[in-house]
Amino acid sequence: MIPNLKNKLKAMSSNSPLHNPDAGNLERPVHEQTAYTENDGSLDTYEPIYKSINNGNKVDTDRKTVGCNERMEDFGGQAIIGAYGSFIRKRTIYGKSTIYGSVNLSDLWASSFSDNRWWTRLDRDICIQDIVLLDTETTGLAGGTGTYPFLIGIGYFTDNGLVIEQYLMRDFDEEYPMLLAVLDVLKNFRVLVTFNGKAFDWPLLESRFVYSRLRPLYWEDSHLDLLHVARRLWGNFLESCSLVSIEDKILKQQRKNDIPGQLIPKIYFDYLETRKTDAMKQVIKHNEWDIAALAALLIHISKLYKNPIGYANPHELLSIAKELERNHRIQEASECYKCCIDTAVIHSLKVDAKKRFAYLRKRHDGPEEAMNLWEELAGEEGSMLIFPLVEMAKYLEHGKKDYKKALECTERAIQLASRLRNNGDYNNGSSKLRDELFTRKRRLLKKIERSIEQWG
Amino acid sequence: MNIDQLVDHIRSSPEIMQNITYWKEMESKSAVYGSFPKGLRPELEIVLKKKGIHQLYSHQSKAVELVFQRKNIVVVTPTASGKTLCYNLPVINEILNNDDARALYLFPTKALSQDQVSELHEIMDLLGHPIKTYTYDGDTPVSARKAIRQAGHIVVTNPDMLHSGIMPHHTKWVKLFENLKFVVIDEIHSYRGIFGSHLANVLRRLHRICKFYGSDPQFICCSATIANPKELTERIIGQEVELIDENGAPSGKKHMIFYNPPVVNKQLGIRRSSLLETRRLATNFILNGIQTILFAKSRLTVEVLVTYLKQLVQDKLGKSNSVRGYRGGYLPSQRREIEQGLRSGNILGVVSTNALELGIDIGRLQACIMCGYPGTIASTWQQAGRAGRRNDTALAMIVASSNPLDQYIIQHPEFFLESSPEHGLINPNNLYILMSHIKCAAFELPFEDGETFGVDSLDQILEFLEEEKVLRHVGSRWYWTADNFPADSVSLRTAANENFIIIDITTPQHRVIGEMDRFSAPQLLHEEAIYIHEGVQYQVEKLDFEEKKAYVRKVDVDYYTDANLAVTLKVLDVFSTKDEGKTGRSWGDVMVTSLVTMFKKIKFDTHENLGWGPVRLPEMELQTTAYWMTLNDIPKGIESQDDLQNGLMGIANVLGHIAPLYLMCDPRDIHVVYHVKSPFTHKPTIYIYDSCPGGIGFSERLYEIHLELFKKAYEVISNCYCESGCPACVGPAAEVSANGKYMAQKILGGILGDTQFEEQAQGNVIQLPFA
Repeated sequence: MIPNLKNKLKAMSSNSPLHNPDAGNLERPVHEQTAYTENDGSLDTYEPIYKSINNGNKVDTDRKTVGCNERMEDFGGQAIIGAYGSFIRKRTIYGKSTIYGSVNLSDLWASSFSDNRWWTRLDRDICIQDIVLLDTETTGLAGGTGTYPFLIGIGYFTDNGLVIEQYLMRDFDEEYPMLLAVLDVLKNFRVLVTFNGKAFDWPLLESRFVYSRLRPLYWEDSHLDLLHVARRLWGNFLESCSLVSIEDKILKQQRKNDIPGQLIPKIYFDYLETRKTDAMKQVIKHNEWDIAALAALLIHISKLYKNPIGYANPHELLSIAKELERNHRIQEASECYKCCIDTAVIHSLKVDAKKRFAYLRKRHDGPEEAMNLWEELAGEEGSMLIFPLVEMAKYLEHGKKDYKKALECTERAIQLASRLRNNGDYNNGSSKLRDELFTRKRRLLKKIERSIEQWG
Repeated sequence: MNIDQLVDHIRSSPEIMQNITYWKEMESKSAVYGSFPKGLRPELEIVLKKKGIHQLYSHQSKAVELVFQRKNIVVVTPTASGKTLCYNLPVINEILNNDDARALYLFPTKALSQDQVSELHEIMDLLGHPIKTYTYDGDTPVSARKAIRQAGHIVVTNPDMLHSGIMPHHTKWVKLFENLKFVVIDEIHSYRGIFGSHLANVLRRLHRICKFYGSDPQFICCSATIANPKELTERIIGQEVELIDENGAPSGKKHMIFYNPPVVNKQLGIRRSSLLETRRLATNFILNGIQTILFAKSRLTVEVLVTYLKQLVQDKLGKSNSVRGYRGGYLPSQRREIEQGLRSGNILGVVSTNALELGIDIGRLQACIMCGYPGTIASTWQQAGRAGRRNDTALAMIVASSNPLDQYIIQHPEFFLESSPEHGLINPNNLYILMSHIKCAAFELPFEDGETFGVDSLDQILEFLEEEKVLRHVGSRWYWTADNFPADSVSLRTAANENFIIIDITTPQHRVIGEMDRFSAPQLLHEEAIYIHEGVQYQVEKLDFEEKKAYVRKVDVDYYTDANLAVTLKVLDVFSTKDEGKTGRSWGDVMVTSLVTMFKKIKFDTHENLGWGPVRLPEMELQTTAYWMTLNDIPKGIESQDDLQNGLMGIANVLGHIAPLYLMCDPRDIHVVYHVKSPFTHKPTIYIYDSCPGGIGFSERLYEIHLELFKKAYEVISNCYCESGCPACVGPAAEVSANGKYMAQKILGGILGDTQFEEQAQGNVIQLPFA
């Protein structure tokens, strides 16, 4: 049907090496990390549907799958063998007293984890028993049906601490039993917590469930993607909201000998080829750290939202105040704004907080309550801000009916606007704004004239 | 002036009539009706009546009946014969019966999909039933995609999007694939060559996915007139189809006019340029208010004609927007605007490449002028069909160029009018194409042992891919084991994957004005080239070959540029070879290397050469299949190396033009190269190779017919009235030198034997090989 197929195939392979065998950096020595984990294989929080056999060394002789004999690699976990095939499950427990960077895991149990739907934006308040943490390692970042999550990390909280369960398929034929087991764990929980899981991990897993004809779970409004929360909290001052950058800058945790994420697909493919486990163990460690970081991040964030005055820095205070305001928690928002204004060192942050606080006061307490803040903003040495002058003019004109002072403010604003224009800032000194100011000025002059006619 | 007056005007102008070699009047034809098929829901009948359709044409009613009988069908009827009802009726009927039913519509271009959706919406509105129809293509906003995946009854898309946007994410399209009842493929004749070979593989993948979700869709296809619609459709969809080719729609009176530009230099056999003649004729049409479409064969000709005609309307009407160009490389928004302008009548003249040959709704045009024979009978009818869609008198004119194919057609109009249009040839098993899609298929669903994917040797290919570490065999399945997304690196339209983008840097705000495929770029976008876009001239200032970007700046000059291509050919593998005595025939794999060496500046109007410049760009490589003929002995009368050289060059020139007649392909699909002493065969050799990487089957066919082709070349040369070569046979004497024509005749005479010589001498009637 295809003439000289063999020759043509040969020609193709020499012309286009599709696979780059360069994987040198995978061979570097591995340093075991043991700092803060306690290993306890006996804990069982759910009834597994598979009979478990300790260690991967024993292999069910009835298994028909080709290649199972080669799969005796030791990952420090259990080989689970069930009706549909086998896979590896590794369970690691981070005790309650574990410290991860600046986070103490015990805080989670110490503080009552409640009243949080306002910042999680989920459909209900969550408690720690509801939560399952999830992170996957995949054969690629492109998505689509040919991308496989080969390692699925799950975390949940028990009285013993944070339990991390990692499910590894040692080859593609182990995907189905692995997914069955993962689904079996996930369905015990009400809230899914991930980092970038809405865009990546969950759609990918969902696609695998559909492919395997397993009914996927629907999280919808009970999926908390911490990336989104992190962006709201830190987006205005962290350059990157990646998990690595947050761990470094916020949680103050540096991973030692962590592998770069982009190498992971290659390491897995390499493992499939060679069955060498060294690099894979690092991938498993990486995934474990990701789950631990996810837990630490959740704890840290909820602590910030629970008691912002006590824990949050000025940047965070502003973000939290905004979130509170969005939820109509005006009293708490005001406190956060005040605290931010009092503690902020960076000028622009202070101005931003004052501005927002002033608008909040104007809306909720009436314009006269915001006057102090407008005056502060406008009166600062070298201030180039127009909006406080405009706001002052509005209140003076319509509220206090003090047209003269209103005119003063308006004229100051006009002066500022033309100065900005002269400096080339056509944005803040736009002609539209200037026209508005002139309209106000004309109206004020008319009003002053009329009041002089009336009284004078 | 209306169109009938224009026809009379032409008839009464001797200076036009003397160049007309043939005038065919095709009488109007009345409609043939069929009954409303049983099983068609009454509300659909009511909707049709509201649309003013009281009876179905015979082909429509037959199509619906066959679909009701669970048959795959292909409907072959001309433009504007109401073929969309052939698929819309059964599809809507099924959805009315079963709200879960889904249909997938495939159109070759986005423009066509948009037309379809608006037409479907019109039916839905009249029906008052919420059938959700969506286009899903690159322009669909991300926010709308989820709803389309879940709820769209009819998903309208193109093969490219199905290939890279839908099938690799099939788990998100469960509803569609589980309930897929119909796949509609319109304009299936346009899927020839590379594109068709890709589509056949895309559909192989679709079949796998449907099977996975337990559906088995029926195919409803439509085609313009080609020789083998049933065979082409069956090869593309991989299943049997029923052919419906009797057209029940009425048509208006049509004038088909063959125009041959007058000879200006008899000795050199030079005729007036078809381009200038087209300009003259079109001027007449457009200034008389006749809405005219002009078809030109290359992007360059399109732009040159637009430039000419824009000057014209600018002078007389004070604006130039009533004449527009239309071709690939224009941005989508620009194209939509031009289509709209044609429908509304604001645009009086449009110059297009074959891009407007397909069924894009551009409304009622009155006349069509083809600048040069479009290359195939099928294309010619399609282009001619652009004029007079709705029962009016229509005029279509072919203006012949001086190339041999054009001259053959213009002098033998009966050949054109009587013979069957071309075959649609595809080669789904082109290894490059097949391999790409096997990768995509493995990404979508692991292959099972024993699967076939249309080829027997699948297991060998899977093993190869495992060696390449792209697949992994575990248990009884082959899994995708690369961290990339294979569909991203496969383009269905070309063999080359990436396009060059063209950036206008005239103003500080740089903007992208067009794009061009990788193989054409060195020829048309080399530095100093004049790139003409919508009639505006740009000079290429910088070509960033690595980044695939060409930076151009507006200029106003009175010349255009034309680049020379140097081609070398190396045989890689011989599939078959046979000694025929005087000649040898072979076919196999070759590597063709092409290099643009220099360009010429050619003055507008006079077309004189104004100078030249070097081009320094990397070589382009093409691995493809070729047929070659070797001369075993030097024929008598060939005295020197030069004689041989000139003769072979002459033969190669003729073959390049007439081989498409035998292959029934577009002239651009093949290339001819000759070697006086081939490094591979060590003999004088003429190669004819496929222009598509991996080949799409032409060389195998040439190997079968071998000498027949040379007989035909001999006839063309012998029948030509020129003295020593002209563009209509071996090429101008300046190129093949004074004895080129004679030497070509000698060589061919030698190959074909003396008997052939004698038959010719006696002036026997030549048998057309196509009858």
